[in-house]
Parts: sequence; C-alpha cells; structure tokens
Amino acid sequence: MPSDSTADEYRQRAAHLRRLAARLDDVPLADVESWAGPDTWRSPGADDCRQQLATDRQRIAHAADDLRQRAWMFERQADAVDAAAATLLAFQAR
Amino acid sequence: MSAGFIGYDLVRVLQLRTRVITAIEALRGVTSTDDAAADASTTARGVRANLEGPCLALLDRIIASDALLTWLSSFGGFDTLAPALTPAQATDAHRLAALARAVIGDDGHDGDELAALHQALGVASLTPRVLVGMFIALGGENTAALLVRLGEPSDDEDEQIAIATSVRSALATASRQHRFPGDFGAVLVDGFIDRLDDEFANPAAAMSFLFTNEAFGAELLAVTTRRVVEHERAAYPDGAGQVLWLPAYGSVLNRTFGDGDEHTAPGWMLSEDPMYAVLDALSRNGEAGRAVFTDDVHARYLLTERLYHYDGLHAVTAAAATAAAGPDVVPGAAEAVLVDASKVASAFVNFLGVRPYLFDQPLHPDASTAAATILGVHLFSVHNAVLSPEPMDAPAGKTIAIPDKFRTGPAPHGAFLDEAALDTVSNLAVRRDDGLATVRAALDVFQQQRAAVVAALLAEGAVVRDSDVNEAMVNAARLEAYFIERAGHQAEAIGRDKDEVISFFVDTATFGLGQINRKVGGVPVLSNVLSGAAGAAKEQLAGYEADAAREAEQYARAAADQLLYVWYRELHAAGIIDPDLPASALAGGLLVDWERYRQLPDDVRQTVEATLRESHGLPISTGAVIDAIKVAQLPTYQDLE
Repeated sequence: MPSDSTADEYRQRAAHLRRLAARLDDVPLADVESWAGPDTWRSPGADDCRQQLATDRQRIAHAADDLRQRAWMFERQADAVDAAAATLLAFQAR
Repeated sequence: MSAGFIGYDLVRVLQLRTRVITAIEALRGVTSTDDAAADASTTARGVRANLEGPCLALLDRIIASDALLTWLSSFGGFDTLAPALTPAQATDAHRLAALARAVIGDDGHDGDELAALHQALGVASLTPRVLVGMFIALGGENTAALLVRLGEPSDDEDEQIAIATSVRSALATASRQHRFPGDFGAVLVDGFIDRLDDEFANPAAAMSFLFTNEAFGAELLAVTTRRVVEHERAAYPDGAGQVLWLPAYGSVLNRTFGDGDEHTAPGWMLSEDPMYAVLDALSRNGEAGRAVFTDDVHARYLLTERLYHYDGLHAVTAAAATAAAGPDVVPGAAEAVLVDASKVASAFVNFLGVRPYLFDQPLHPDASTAAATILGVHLFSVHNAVLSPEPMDAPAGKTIAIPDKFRTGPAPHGAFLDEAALDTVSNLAVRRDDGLATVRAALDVFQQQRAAVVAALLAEGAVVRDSDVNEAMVNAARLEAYFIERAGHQAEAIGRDKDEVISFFVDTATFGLGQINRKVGGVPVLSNVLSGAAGAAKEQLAGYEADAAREAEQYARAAADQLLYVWYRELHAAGIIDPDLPASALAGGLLVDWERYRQLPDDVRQTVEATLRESHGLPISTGAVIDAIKVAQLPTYQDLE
C-alpha cells in the first residue's frame, strides 16, 4: 500500500499512544484498592484514601481509553492520507 | 499509636504499602512528549502524587508508630532483640514473611513468588535481626510448611533447593545470634508433624534438610530436639519413633543429601527419619546437647529406647560425646558446664549401658570412639568407679562427690557410673582401634598427671603416707588393667587376635600429651577401698592355670614397666629421688620421656630401672603393680581355654 511520511507519522504516534495506554492498564491500582479495604484498615483517613484510590483508578482508566481513542483517530487519519495518496497516483497514471 | 485509627491488620498494612510502591513505580513510567498524551500524562502524575502523598503518608505513620513493635513483642521473646526492629527492618521482615506465605499458598508454586523470595533472602543487607523478625512473623508452623512445600515436586526444583538452603541458613544464623520466642522450636516441630499426611509432602526430608550442615543456636536446637522426643514418645512409647516419620512421598530436597558408606545408610534413606539430622546438629553444639541429655527422660529415650536402624548409633553417640566431652568441656570452663558435662557422661554410660541388644547390631566405628572420648575426658570418674564399683538402683544421669587423698578442700564432683553399665560402655570404647587409641591417649595423660600430683606433694614436704603412694601406683595399674582386660575380650568378640590388640594398647602408650588433654572434676582420685592389693592379687593368681598366667604376665610386665617409669620420672622431676643415672637417659636434667626411653639400649634401661628402684626409698611394690594388671587379664585368657 502506498504510504507517505505523514501517514507513517500518524501510525507511529498511534502506536506510542497505545503503548502508553497499556502501561496505564498495567498500573496495579485495582490490586491496591482491593488491599486497601476495611479488612486491612479502618479509619477516616483510610476511608479517604480508599475513596481517592477509587477515583484515581477511574481517572487512569479514562486516561487509557482517551489514549486509545486518540490512537484510533491517528490510525484513521493515516488511512485517509494513504487513500488520498492512492487516488492521486491513480489520477496521475491516466 | 497515631490518632484517628480505629483498627488495622499490620501484616496487610505492610503488604498494602508494598503494592502502593509498586503502583507508584508503574505510574512513573507513564511519560510522553506527544501533545496527544498530555492529558494522560497529567492524570498519571496526579494519581502518583495522590499515592505518594496522603495515602503513603498514612501508611508510613502506622508503620512508624510503636504499634508494630508492640505487636511483634506480643509473640514473646522479641523483646530480647535490643534494640527492637526499626520500622524499616520490621517492614523488611514482614515483606519476607509475606513472600514466604505466598510460596506456601495452596494454589501451587508461582515462579514469580519463588524468584522473589529467593532474591529477597539473598539481599546482603539482611541482618540476623531482620531474619528473626521474618521467622517470628512467619511463625514456626509456617516455617515448617515452607520447607515442606519446597520439597514437593515442581518444575523449579533447583530454585526450590536454593531457596530452602537460604531459609535454612537464615534460620541458623538468626538462631545463633538472637533468642527466638520460647515455643518457636516446638511449634516448628509441630508444623512438620501436622503435614505428615499431606499429599506430596515429605516432612521428614524437610526437617532432615533443615538440620543438616548448619550450626543452630543452642536454645532453639534444644527446644526442637525435646519436642521431637515428646512427639515420638507419645506416638511410639516402645522406642520405634522412626515409624512416626515414614514418608509416603519422595522429596526434591533428597537430592541434597550425601551418599552413605559401609556403616551408614545413604542420605536419602537417613532423611526418612529426621532424628539423625537433629542428633547430628546436636553433635555440633555441646550446650544444646547438655540441655537435652541432662534430662533423664530424654536421655533414656535417646540412649536406651530409641531405635536407630541406619547409622549404627553414630549420631546419638556423637551428640552425647560433644555434650559430655566436646571442645568446651575443658579445665577453666564454667562450673555449670563441667557439672552438666559430668551428668551427660553419667547418663551416657548408665543409659547406653542398659540398651538392649547393644552389641547385637552393626555398630559404627565412631560410636566406639565417642564412648572412648567420653570415658577419656571423665577418666577421673571412671577411675573411681573401677576402684569403688557401685551399682545404681535405676539408670540415671547424676554426679557424686569423689574423695581424693591427695587433695585438700571439698571433694570434687564427677559422674556417677553404674558398675555394670560402665563395663558395657568400656567394652564399646575399646571395640575398635580408634576407640582403643583414644582410651590409650587419655590414660597416658591421666596417669602422668596423677604421678605429677603425688610427686609435687612429696616435694612440698606434705605429709603423705608411704602406703598411700604405693596404693596410688597400684590403683593406677588397676585402671590400666581394666581397659586391657576389655580390649582383649572385645578383640575376641569381633574375631581379632587378642594378643595383637592388647599389645597395641600397651605398646602405643606415650605418657605425653596425647589426643585428650582434659580432665573433669579436679585431680585424679585414689581409692581408699583397696589395701594390700599385691596380696589380694597373689591370692587370686594362685587359682589360675599357669599357661594363662604366663600369657597375661607378658603384657602385665610391659604395662607395669611403662607405668612405673612414668611415676619414677615424676618423682625424679620433683626432686624426691636423685640417683646417678646414665647421661643418655637424661635431657635437661630430667629423665627423657617414655618414647625416647623405650628406644635406649637394653643395658642402659636395665641400669636405669635398677637404679631407680633402689634409690627411691619408698615402699613401692613393683610386683604389686604387675600383678594388678595381670589379674585383670586372666579371665580373658582363661575364657579362651
């Protein structure tokens, strides 16, 4: 498939964002949250910490989703660039 | 304790902290220069800040509070760690314990957990204090469970053996340097026992592995040994304690045990019965052995009742020998050590001496040496028992005051040795060449020391009756004779030439500082029971056949010659006798030692002997000394007619 430097750049950025998302997925916040339950500690401070952990876990999950969405967009843009380039080549060949 | 806490589980708090740190490290890796990732990077930094801030701070406040140390102290014994664990050390200890628990878990081995534990145990900064904390946090039962688990089959056998070795080393190191809670060793043994019926488990091999090749602290080792004995006695009062351990499965750890030899079964077979390894560990720790063998119940079980099918009594006799006559049983040692060592010597003789079928099983040569070593170091007590034989109502380990004519002050204490039991154990001692040589070396030192004591008293002008001196020499001869007689009997019993053995025993005397240069309980003692030994000997001789008497005479004369020379030499050194002697018999103004003397030409020796006998002015009866030795040998020769 024909491709130009702009399409490659989009794809590289997409791959980078997906790797970053995967790293966020690997942050063991769910494990931390499960160990931070009332069978480990019970106090107002512990409650605050647990609540913050839950919020942060959701933030991290959203951040990972956001990265994947951006990556998907970059990939689509790369495909569009490739498609445009192919159309141009076909036109020039006539 | 920090304010605001209602309650928490400290182990879980420590584990939570470990996980928080892991999460922080993971978030640290989420960085990017791509504008599209800016929001995600910001989120990651924010979450990391939250973890590093309020959450971690809260955890560290709990860990830094005195609650953790208070909790650790509740296990008992932990307060002996001075100072107690710092929070950081406590964290390390609990992290290790948590890793160990993960390996023990029922879900099968996880390679990551094994590797993590292995790596954590290998950290150079681990101090014995942290290791103690780890084992206390883990508990004796889980420590046993960990070792049993590490012996179960898996794909990581090399790693398991490496970890088990690290655990063993860590426990040994920690036990040498710190006290464990009083019941740790007992709970450890209980932990092995509890897993005897587990599928794929081999607690016997795991426990054998634990006590192989490592030096443990005396307290932990003694507690452990006593617990093993208690379990075995409860399960098999008839002494068949090894049946308790019989494994249904093999063990990965069996790969670490050595080969056997003609006297001892291979290691994998010995590992079926952990008592061998426990006793082997005791043989490296006299203090622990004394804590065990001074208890009559345990001593009776181990020495009289317990069956040992695989090592010919090697382990149990070695353990007792270290306790009764090991390197820490020396003149100048603490009184308590010497008293306990004498009690162990007494227990060894009195309990082993009544062991059923002692000579009907293959005996390890080292068992003979162990018996000889104990008798040699406690020759003071043996001498008393030979000259004043006394039966014991029931076997026990006890000490008695032994009077000494040549010593002022209170009578020293020594081991009380039952007459019949001493006979049996003496036979064991001289049954093999190494034992025979050990007894010989001990006798050399003993005889030389006793002669020196009497000579010194005479030199100081002390009031010493001539008859006492003569009696002392005759009694010295009786002690020689006691072992010569048994050497002859044992030679025949195991199919050797009695003359060869007796000759070896008599001819290898050096009367110098030999292998054993120790005595327990003060100066040698002289019996006041014997009187007119020469006359009594002659009466006995009158009834014996001439041939037997002639054979016994040969060795009696040789033994008497060297014994008398030792006495004359000490008297000469002390200035009691001062005859004109050939120059070749002197060195530095003193008579040469026995080794050199025996190499002098016959005519020189005859001159020296005649001069010494004529010059001493003491009523020493050479004939009585010879007879005392000869009489003891006669039964040997007559039995063989």
